[in-house]
Amino acid sequence: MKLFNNRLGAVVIALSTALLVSACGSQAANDTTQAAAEGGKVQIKVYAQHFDEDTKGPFDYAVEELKKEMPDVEIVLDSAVQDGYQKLKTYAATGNMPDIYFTDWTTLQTFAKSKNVELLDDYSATTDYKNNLNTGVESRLIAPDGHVYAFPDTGIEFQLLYYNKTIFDEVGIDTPIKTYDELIAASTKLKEAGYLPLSIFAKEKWITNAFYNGLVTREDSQGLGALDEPGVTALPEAFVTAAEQMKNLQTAGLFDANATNTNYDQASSLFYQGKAAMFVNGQWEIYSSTEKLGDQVDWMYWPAKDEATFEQAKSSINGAGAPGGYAVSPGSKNKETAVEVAAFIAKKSAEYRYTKLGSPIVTPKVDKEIAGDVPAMMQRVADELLPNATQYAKALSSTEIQNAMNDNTQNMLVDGFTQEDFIGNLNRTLEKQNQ
Amino acid sequence: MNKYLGNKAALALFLLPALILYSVILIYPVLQGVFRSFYEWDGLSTATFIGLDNYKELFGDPLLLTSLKNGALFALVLVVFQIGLGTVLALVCANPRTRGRRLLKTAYFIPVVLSVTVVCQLWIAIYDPTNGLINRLFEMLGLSYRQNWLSSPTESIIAIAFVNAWQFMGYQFALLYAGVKAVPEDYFEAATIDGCGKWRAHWHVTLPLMRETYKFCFTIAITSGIGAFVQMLIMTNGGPGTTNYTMTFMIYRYAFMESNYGYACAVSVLLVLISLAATMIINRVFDREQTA
Amino acid sequence: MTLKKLQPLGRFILQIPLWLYLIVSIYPLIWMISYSLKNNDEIFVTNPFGLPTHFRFENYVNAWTQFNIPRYFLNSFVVSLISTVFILILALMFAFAVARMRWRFRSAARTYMIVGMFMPLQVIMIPLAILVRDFHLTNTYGALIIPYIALGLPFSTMVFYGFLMGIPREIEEAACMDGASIYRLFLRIILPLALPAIATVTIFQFLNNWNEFTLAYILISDENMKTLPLGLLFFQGSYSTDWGAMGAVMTIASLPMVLVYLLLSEQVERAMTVGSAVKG
Repeated sequence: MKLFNNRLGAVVIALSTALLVSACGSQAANDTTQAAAEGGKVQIKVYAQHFDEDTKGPFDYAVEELKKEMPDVEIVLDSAVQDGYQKLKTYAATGNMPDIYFTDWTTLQTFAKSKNVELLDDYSATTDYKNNLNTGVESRLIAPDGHVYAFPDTGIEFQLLYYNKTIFDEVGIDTPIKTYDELIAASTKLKEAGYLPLSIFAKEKWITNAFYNGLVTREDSQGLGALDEPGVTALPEAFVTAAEQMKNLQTAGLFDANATNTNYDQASSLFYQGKAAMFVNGQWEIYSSTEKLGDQVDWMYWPAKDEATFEQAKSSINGAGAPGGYAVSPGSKNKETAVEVAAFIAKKSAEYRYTKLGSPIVTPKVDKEIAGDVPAMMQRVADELLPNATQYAKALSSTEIQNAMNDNTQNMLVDGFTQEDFIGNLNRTLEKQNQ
Repeated sequence: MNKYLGNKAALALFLLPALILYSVILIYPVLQGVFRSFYEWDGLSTATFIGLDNYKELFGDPLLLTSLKNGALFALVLVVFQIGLGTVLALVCANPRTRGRRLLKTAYFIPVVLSVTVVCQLWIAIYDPTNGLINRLFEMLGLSYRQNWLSSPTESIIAIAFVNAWQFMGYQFALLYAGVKAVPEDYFEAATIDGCGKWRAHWHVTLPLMRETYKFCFTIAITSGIGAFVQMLIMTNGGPGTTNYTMTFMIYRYAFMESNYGYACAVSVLLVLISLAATMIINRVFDREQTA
Repeated sequence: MTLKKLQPLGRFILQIPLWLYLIVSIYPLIWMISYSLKNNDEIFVTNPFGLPTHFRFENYVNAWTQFNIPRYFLNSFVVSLISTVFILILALMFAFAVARMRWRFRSAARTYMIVGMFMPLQVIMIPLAILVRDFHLTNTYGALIIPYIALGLPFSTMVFYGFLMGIPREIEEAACMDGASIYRLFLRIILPLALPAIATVTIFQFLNNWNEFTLAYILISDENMKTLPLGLLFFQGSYSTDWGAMGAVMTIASLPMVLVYLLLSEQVERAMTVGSAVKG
C-alpha cells in the first residue's frame, strides 16, 4: 500500500511539472516566432481555405505573386476547413480576428452587424476591382445593401444536369431533354432498363435546394431570391409549380430511394461507374466528370413545363451571386495594407483559376490566355451559356428562409412527404419572416 | 465521529480544487448561457433584452416537439438495449463457470474504444437499402421486409439510437460488471443455498444491492438519449428535412446556422432542466424502492 | 447419468449467443482496418463489408505525409494523460467529501456537480473560448487540459460517488478508533479500495479525451499543438472526401486505445477481485 502511494505521488508531481514545462515551453516558442517576424516586414494573417487541390493551388499562386508585388508583406496562413465558418465566428467572439479572412454572405451579414468586417466602399482597391469585373457578376462584389464587404475570386457558380450519352443512346432517349414530361418519360425508361435515372447527393441539403431552384428559375428567373421581399408571405405561383414538378419527378422514380443518405462520393461514384444516367452538381463537376467519363458525358439545360418556356428560360442561369470572398478585419493593425493584399490575393486567385485550371467562372476580368486544355463541356459553357445568359438568379439573404428551403426540398425526396406539406411549411416560414 | 468526518480543513482541501475549477470553467459559461437566453443576440453584436420572448417562441416551435419525441425514443432505446443486455452480460461474465469470460469481457468493450465516426460509417453501410447487410439478410431469409432504414421518418431515429446503444453498451456493461463484482459473493451463495434459482437469486439479491450503479446507469442512458446529437449529425445530418432533430441539434442549428444565439441558449436551458428533472426522478424512484 | 452428460452441452448451447455477440463486437474493428485499406469506390459501392481485395497501403502513406502524425499523437497523449490524472485526483477527493464526510450541503453539492454535464458544448463553447483567451492559455496544452478536466468531473464524481457509497460505514469508525487522520483514511484505506473505480474512470476519461474533437478544433490553431482527431480534417476536400485515408488515421488513433484497454482491463479485473475480498 505504502509503495503504491509513493509511486502515485511521484507520478502526480512528475506530471504536473511536465504540464508546467510544456505550457511554458510553448509560450517561449511563440515569443521567438514573433520576434523573428519583426525584420521590417509587415505580417498579414490570412484565414483562408487551403485543404485540397482546388483551394491550395489558387492561394499558393497568389502568395507567390504577392512576394514579387509587395516584398515587404509576409503572409501567415491559418488554413480553414469547411465548418460553416464556426471557427471564424469564435475568432470574432474572442477578438482574435485575422487581418484577412475568406467567408460567405451569411457570415458577412453577422459580421457587418457586429463590426467585424471592414467596409471597403471607399478604398481605391475597391474602385479598381469594380472597374475590372466580368459581365453580370456585380452581385458577387456589391451587397444588396450597396456596400462592398469582400473581394470575390470565383464568379457566379451554377448547377447543371449532367448525363451519360452512352446510356441515353442505349436506352433510346432523345437529347436534349426539354420538358419536364420528357424527363419523367426518360426516368421511367431508364428505370426499366435497370439504371438509376439521376444520382444526387441529397445528404447535403443545398443540392436538393439547387435542384428545386433549377425548376423554379424556368418560371421565374429570380429564383429563390424572389422570396426575400417583405410582403411575400406565401409561395408565388412559380414555386408552387416547381414543387409539384419535383414531387412528380420523385414519384416517377427519378431519384434513388436512399438519396437523402447519399453523400457526394457515393452519388458521383454511381454516375462515373455508369450505374446512374444523370447527375446534378455545380459547373465545377465538369473537370472530374470529363476526367472519369471523357466524351461520354455532357450537360443539359434545366427542363421546363413546355418547349416554349424551355427555349425562353435557356438564358436564365440556375445560380445566384452572393457577396463573399476575402474580407478584412477592422481591427487589423495594418488595415490599409490588408485591403490591398486582400484585393490582390482575390485577383491572383482568379487569374490562377482562369489560366491554370481553365475556369471562366471568375469575378475579375483576366487579361491573360485561358488554359489550353479546357474541357469540351466548359467550352460549351463559355461559348453558348455565358454569352447568352441575361439573368442570374437572385441570392436569398435570409438564413431562416434558406434553411427552411433546404429542409423541405430534401424532404421532397422522401415518400409520404407531399407538395402540400412543402407549401404549408414554407408558407409558415415566409409569414413569420416577411411580415 | 461527526467531528472526525466534519473536519473543516479537510473538507475544504477535498472540495475546493474540483469546485473552483468546475465553477470557473463550466458553470460560469453555463450561467452566461442562462443569462443570454433572455436576449436577442447573434453571438457577436450588442444584445437586446427581450425577457421571456425566446421561451415563448420556443414553446410554439414545431422543431421542439420533434426533438422531444426523438429524445424520448432515443432514451428508451438506450435504456432497454444497454441496461437490459448489459445486465445479462455482466451477470453471465461475473459467473466463474462461464468459459472465456476474459475474452468476452474485452470484446464487448471494443466498440466503445472506436471513434464514433467509424462506427457510424459502418452502420450507414449496414443500413444501406440495396447493399446493406440488414436488407440482404431479409432477402436471404426470403422476407420482403426491406426497409429504407435511414430515410424513413419514423424508423430512422430508432435505427440511429440503436447504433449509439450498440456502441456504448460496453460502457454500461463495464459499470454493471463492476457493480456485480462489488456485491459480496456469499450473499448470492446464501440465496442459492436457500433454494433460489440462479436468476431469481440475482433478481432478489444481486440487483437490489446494485442500486447506486443502476441509478447511475439510468441517468447516463436517459440523459444522453435526450441530449443525443453526433450520430444524427454524421448519419443523416438531422434529415430527411428535420425529422431526426433532437434538442442539441436545434441548438446547433440556431447557434451556428442561423446566428440566433440567444434562442439557442433558451433551448439549452430547457435541455438542462429536462435532464435535471430526469435525474431527480430516477433518484426518487430508486430511493423509494429502497424504503419499500 | 445421461442428464449429467447433457449439462455441459446445454451450457454450451446457452453460451452461443455470448459468442455471437462477441463477433458482433469485434467485427467493427476488423471492418475499420479493412476500410483503411480500400478506396472510395470499394468502400461505398463495390465491397463495403468484405476484406480488401487489394491492400491499399498508400492510404497510410498518404495519411503519414499529409500531417505530422507523431507530433499529433504526442499532443493527444500528453493532453489525455494529464487531464485524466487530474480528473481522477479531483473527482475522487470531491466524491469522498460528498459520499463519506458529514456536512450540511452535501446533496446540494452533488446536484451542482451534475448540472454541467447536461449543458451542450455548442452553447458553452464561445464563453469557454473567451476564458481560455483571458487565462492566456490559447495555443498551449492548457487550452485543452483545463476544459477537459472540468468537463470530466461530473461523470467521474458520479462514478466515484456510487462506488464510495457502497463501502461499509464501519471503515471510518475503525480508522477513527485507530487514531488515523482523515487524510490517512483517504490515502491508505479509501484510495486502495477505490482502485476498481479508478481504473474504470481512467479508461472512460482517457478515451473521451483521446477522441475529443469539437473543443480541440475550436481552441487550437497552432499546428504544433493539434491533437490526433484533428488529423481527419486533412482528408475532407471541397467536394470529395478521401475516406480510405481517414480510415487509416482512425486506425492509427484507435489501435493504441485497444491495447491500452487490454492492459488496463486486466488491472481492473485484478483490482476488483482484491476489492471485493476486502469488502466481503
